[in-house]
Amino acid sequence: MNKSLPLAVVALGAAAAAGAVPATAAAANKTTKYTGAKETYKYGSLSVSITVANKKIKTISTSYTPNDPRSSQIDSEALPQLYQEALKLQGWDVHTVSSASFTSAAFRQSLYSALGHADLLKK
Amino acid sequence: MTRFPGAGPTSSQTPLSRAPSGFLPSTRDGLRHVEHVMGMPVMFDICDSELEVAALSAAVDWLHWVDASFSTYRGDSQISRLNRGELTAGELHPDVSAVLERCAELHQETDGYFDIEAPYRRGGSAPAAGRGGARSIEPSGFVKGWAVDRVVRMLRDAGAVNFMVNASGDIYAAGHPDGAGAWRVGIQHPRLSNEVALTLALRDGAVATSGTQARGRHIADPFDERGPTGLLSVTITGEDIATADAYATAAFAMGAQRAAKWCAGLNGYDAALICEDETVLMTAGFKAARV
Repeated sequence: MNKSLPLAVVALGAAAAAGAVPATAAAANKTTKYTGAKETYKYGSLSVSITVANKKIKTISTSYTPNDPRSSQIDSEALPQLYQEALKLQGWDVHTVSSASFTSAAFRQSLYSALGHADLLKK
Repeated sequence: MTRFPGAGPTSSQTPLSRAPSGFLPSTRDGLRHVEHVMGMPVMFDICDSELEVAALSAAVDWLHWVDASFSTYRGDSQISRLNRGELTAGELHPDVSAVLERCAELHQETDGYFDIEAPYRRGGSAPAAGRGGARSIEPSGFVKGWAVDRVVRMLRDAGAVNFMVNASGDIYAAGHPDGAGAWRVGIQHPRLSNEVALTLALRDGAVATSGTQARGRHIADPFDERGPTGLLSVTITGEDIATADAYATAAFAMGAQRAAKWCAGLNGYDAALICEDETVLMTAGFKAARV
């Protein structure tokens, strides 16, 4: 039972306690996105991104690349009860992201590397 | 006798500290924590500054109890023992019985597409038959959502109003994220790395997504060995995570044509189907919740 997992502690603790000055003295309220290394696991690869403002984490999100993307056409029969539209990108102005499930190990590795980029790891 | 954390005194040897090192101040007032349990990261973002840390500790304890009781990867879990025929239905913990009953209901509601026996039926290694009553069930997917739904209730009972839990991509959001407004939940783009395909405003509700992007084709169509076709992902919103996740899993297994018809008839839940031709089919409620 690893309930005292150091993961989040390291990140936010360093920011709160040490108050280390970031390498680039970012203006107050400026939000910067840091993306962790792509980590491979059984079914593909993932990377974790964090957004940081004032040395504190605002959002954590994850993206994936599957090993086996499929491509077959669907016989698209638009149903009267459903609305249909083209898929398009919506950007990252979100608090969290819903996705198919993912595993802990790759997530943790990638998050650590994103924290490293953001200079939030305890030295 | 299995201990039931959250509904009685916690274990005697390690009383919960008021400030365990795993919990920390967030960007705003409140708590933010990531717990790795059941093989997945569970992220808590609690905005209510007055919530006791002990409430979060109890929730986390509960998740570990569920892991020990249900995991088919643990030989001593109740599910593993049931599968080996070492326990009968009558000997199960009431929570385990309740989960299995709900799984049976969902099997009916989804025309058989939600199927906790499918992983074994399709090429998986069935457990060796024990004495009479041996089963071949793998309810882990449902259990994760069910456990997080319970955690939501525990947090509410402790006084939390504004919070969000993200359990490996399945989400419950309550109240407001910043004192006002709704939680904005991005739906992962199923093909493009690092992109959000849809954004939803969510308040006091659940979102679950099933698809191919994260774990490969882990969802089996119980009726067709070739697997589901025509869909990249299915997102379901509604009252609880467990139901939303089961519906999403089932709809994805159905494939595009059947899933579209089935989702159009949902009651109390809404759906978005992302198809392989990169169109999105949405129920009216889902469309209304988009930002």
